[in-house]
Amino acid sequence: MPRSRRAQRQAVLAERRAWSPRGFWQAFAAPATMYLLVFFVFPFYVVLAITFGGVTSILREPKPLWNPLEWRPPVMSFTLSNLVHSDGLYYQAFIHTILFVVIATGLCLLIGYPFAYFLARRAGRFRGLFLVLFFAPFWISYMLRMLAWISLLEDDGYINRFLTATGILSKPYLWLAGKPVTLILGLVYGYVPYMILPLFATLDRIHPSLLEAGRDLGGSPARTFFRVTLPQSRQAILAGFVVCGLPMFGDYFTQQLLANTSGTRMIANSVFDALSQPIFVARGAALILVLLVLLIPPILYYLRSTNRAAAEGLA
Amino acid sequence: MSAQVGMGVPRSRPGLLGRLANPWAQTRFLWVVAIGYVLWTIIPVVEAVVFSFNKGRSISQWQGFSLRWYTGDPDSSVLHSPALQQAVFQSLKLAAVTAIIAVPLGVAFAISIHHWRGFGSGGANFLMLFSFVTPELILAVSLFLLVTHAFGFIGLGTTAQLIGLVVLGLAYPVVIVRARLVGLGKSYEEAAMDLGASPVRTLGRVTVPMLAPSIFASLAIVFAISLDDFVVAYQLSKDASTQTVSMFIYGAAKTGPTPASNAIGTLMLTASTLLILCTAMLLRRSNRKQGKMVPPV
Amino acid sequence: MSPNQSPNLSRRDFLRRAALAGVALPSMSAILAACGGGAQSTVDTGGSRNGSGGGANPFGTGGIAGADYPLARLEAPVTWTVKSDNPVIDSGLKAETGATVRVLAWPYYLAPAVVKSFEKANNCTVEITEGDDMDKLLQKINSGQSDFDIMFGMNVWAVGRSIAAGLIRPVNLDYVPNLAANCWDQFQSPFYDVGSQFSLPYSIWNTGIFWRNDFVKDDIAGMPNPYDIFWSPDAPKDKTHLLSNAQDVLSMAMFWKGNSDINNADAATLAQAKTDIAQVVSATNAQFDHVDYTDVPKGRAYLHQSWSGNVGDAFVFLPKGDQALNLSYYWPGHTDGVPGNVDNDCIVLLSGGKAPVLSHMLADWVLDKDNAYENYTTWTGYQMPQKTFTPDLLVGNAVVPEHLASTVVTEDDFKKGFRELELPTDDDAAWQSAYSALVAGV
Repeated sequence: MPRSRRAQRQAVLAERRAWSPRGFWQAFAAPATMYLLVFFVFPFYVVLAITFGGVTSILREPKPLWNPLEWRPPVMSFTLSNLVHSDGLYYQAFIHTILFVVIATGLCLLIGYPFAYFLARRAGRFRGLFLVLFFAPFWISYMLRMLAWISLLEDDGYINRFLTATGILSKPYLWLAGKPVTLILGLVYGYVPYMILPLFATLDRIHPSLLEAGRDLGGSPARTFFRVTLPQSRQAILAGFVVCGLPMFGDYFTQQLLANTSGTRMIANSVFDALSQPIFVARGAALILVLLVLLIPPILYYLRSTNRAAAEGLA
Repeated sequence: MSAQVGMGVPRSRPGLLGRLANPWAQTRFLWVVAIGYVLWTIIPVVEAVVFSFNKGRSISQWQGFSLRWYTGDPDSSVLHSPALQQAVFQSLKLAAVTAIIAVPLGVAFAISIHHWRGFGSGGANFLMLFSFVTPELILAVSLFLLVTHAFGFIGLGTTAQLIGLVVLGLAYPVVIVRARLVGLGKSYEEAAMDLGASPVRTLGRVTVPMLAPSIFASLAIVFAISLDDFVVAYQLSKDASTQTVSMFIYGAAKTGPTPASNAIGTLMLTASTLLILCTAMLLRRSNRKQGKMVPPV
Repeated sequence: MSPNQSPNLSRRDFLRRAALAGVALPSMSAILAACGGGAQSTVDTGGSRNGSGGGANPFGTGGIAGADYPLARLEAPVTWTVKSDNPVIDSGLKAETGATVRVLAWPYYLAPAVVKSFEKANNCTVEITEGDDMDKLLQKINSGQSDFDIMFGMNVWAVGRSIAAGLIRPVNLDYVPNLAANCWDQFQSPFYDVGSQFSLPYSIWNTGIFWRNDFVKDDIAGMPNPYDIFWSPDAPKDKTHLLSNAQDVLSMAMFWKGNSDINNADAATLAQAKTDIAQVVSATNAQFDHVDYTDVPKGRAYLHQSWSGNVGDAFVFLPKGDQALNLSYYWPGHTDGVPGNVDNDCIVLLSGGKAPVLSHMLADWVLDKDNAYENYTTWTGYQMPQKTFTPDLLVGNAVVPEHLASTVVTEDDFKKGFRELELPTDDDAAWQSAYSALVAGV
């Protein structure tokens, strides 16, 4: 590898590159960074101020306390204890959330990987058609597709009619009566495209010669898949898990529209409900903080491995 | 392309065990998955479109064909419901303005991060990606509390919705444009610079034109994401005048939907299909031009 | 503020809290406090409250103690104080020209036809914003610089706090002759607003049981205690729904036990009510919502605790001419010895509104007897306390099918029924907590 020579050349160029005045490139990042600092980072301080604040006297609205010295912990300790004790207000929702998200994300991978693989290397001359069909549902509002699912899943809707007519079910299944299966399928439906996109992008990029090499070295198709294709798409699977799984933690409307029972509540529903009750807004804020803290480890892991992969890619 | 790779010309025919171990070899299985997936995603779209022409109020029981929900109904049809029309207008307005704000910010950020190695670049990049993967509800709620309790001068409404949607959309151009920059490498810029172009000139004459397709893609994606957004727009909306189409449909779904929701969705589907067809043709043309301009590395 | 200036705060406390904050930003907090715009009153830790009703109070006279403002009770009516910074508008003003009247209402709560005719008659625009529960509606009025003009459907329990918070504009009754002309006598000067200084009556309803008689075969109306159905094995699994509202749900459990003193429930009574409802939830996998008007006709629910007005709304949702004989409704208050809830809500003008004259006129427009009839029969399904709306008229005109005559609320029902009133602050929090726990399934 002529790496060192290239590095030398770059160093020389960099030397000559007095063309970029000090701070030139930094200045380009400044607006977006400032924007994020003000409207993404700073709001968390407000969330803290409300979590650890009080309430106003008449309407019992949250009253933020800006000075950290005055902060009061009761709402946060209430929230935490209700999250970890099995008879707590948020415990069940918390467990459901993890369970549903893990299952739904797993299903997304099970459905998304074959589809992405198909799209990237097996669709042949139908590839264009399938790409169009893959993107087509995005052209109509997601909320409307959700509404369409509700109609299809009614007791006497077309899904039940089909299932009973074909003898798969003997009587209609009450899909909308708070069934976890409906909720999980709803989540998968909503988020599986975010799994497919990174997988497709990666599988599409794996160079055919790499696979040929694997085969030529005597690998069976299975071996080639497990030794070449799968490791090559590892990073994409991770990306898929993150961009498809993390948003589910903040999804409340799927549950509201498709299930709406206590047995299917997710943590985002607790946040949503707390926010609509003035005296409980601070609890909603506390839950937001907890959720954020819980999601930081997977996010960090993802970002680190992305960086590492990027670094390896450059090397 | 090597459509045969993996399955291959059977040098040694894989036995049953081999096939099971490698389901990917079974093209038929993949076809079933693909067609199943497409049906699964398309069926609700078909349902939504078909029932927009329903005669009755139901969106699950067919009661005969009519244009009631497009033009006929004096209160709730697309033609006669100011609330519905204004929701379309608000959605389009938010999506367009968000794209116009978020994409330049994001592109500039991507270009900067691409060149800027040193203290701060890692942090800025981290912040950007963090905002990208943070659940939308967290963004929406923290912004809601921000504008209602700290930045009272902003308040709920269109401005707040825009602020939130820009946070939501900002990272997309960054990711897309950076990928393109990495793909292009630095040689073009270095060449321009070696030929004595100033950085600003290099940027304007070389970098940005080469990024045009990805900038365009970013605009489209940010527009689409904002148009379809529910959580942020809902949390930061103020009143009927800041209601979006997603919010309208959500409200209807919770309180008693009519096919008017389907009608508006169908109209928007038609519009976006036309738009995408036009864009695809334009893109194809510009790609051809692009192909001439940038020789394969 | 530095740790030295705060003698009660130990150094460790300071460090801990500073660490909690990540960084202490005293100057920042001052700026924020300044630009937060919240001219709200003092911070309250939620400890003991020195209630102030009963006597002199800056907000009004009468009522009972339990909050920072008087709490209205039937036996202790409240006369609210009209403040100088939120005065009554003068009589005889001209309507604002070309203005937009910004309306806040529940979904399906104001007929478009009635609104359109008002727009035409007064050359203005009416913009309706919907909110699907009272707390969200209140939040909209209260968040920042709200400029809503008028709200249709403010619950009586929310009226007091909204007046105290200065959100409601006093009414000049000169603009609203239809109150005196058309509305029931008991709403001319209601206990929650003596002299109708701040509110006008809008809808009335009772809270009862709505069911599909093709799936639930019990003769609910004939049962000695109709509420029993929710606790009986006949309550359909997966098809039983309760109202998504703390007071309605928990009161029902108290009514079931024959306890009608729902506004003074002690902790044990409340806990028992919660346990009773939890039993229904776990036996039937019940959902909490208030979309009974679509749930029951569609078959999403076979048994639904309901507001009679929503049952009325169900008819608006049915195809024309459908008598829907499979729908039944019963108000348990009709059964001897069984208590039932009866209530009303209000039209209020909002102090942030920019079109006060037009909003007075819109309120009067809606209280007009023909407009009210159209509003009720073609759209809201919620009856108004109009003198002309008698059960005979409504059933006779086939507005209400005969088998659902129980949805019609009479003046007499208001004597028989019990109201869910605004609870003392601490009780309110306890009820809300109990309800949150029910919804969370714990």
